[in-house]
Amino acid sequence: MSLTPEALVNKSLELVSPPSTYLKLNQLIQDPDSALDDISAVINTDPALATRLLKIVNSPFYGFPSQINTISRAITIVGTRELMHLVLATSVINAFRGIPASLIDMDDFWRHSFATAITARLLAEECGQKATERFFIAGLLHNIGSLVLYQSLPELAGEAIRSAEFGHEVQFQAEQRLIGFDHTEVGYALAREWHLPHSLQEVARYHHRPSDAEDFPIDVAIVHIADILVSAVPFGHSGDNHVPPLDPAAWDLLALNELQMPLLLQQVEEQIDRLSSVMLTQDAS
Amino acid sequence: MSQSPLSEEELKKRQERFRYVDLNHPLMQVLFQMQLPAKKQPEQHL
Repeated sequence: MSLTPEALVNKSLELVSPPSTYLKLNQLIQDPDSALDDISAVINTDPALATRLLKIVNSPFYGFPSQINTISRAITIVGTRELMHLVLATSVINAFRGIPASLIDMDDFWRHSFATAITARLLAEECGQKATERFFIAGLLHNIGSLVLYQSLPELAGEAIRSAEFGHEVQFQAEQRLIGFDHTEVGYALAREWHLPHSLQEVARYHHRPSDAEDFPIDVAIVHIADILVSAVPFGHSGDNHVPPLDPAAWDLLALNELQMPLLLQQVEEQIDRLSSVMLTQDAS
Repeated sequence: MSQSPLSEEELKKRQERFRYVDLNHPLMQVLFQMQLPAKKQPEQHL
């Protein structure tokens, strides 16, 4: 019987903890009776997570003028949804810490993801989108399926990386040839298994073929373009040294001016080191 | 944004990086030619 993305995700979940605090928070905010104290209480049940969140919101990336000392205060200042996204990002980074450096430099992998996150949010602002923090987490987690492949099928994933480097195909095409499916299908399966928002599921699934997006074509198009911009510079390395193919329809959908892109990427460059350093620091907490 | 021409070495690197994209697309033309300003290196303390 051939391997499926769903079976691979199930196998991977034996090693990777789901983002349980995020899932609890997601349930909580659906409840109209929930209060800020309830959200704080859930986060504070994981002291290591709470400490890390406070470090992140007090970092130069956010640049708030005064110290934020409690989760309640962080929610008030940063906002519930953005803090939830930080919870999710932190949980995913921690869950996949075991990927061997011989396969891929994970600092480089995350640098690509952070840059895609920042770029996606800036593109969303350029497009006049509201609630742009959702584009940040969509960019950050667009390659979540690669993490499963690196962790659960390291030999085949490594072969796909080498094939993209030395062969005549991009990484996701090499994955399809070698494994039978690629990181986008695995990312979709994982996002569904973890009950992540539908928009994140679509971004994980369609960021290399945005014209297939069903309910969130703008989200998918923005991350598709962000991934291309970041790969062109490049910022970090997700496993492929090549710029992924552009879907011109996605670019047309966003109605952006290409001449603005270098300036936007300059802003990304100004933010990326601050974000990487605070998100990737391993502390004793 | 710096507009100096790309060195031969950089040109080769970019041709490889942009191997799978259509360089006739206006976005790709801008990205291919783009040069972000060099980042300041931190001072070395011996």
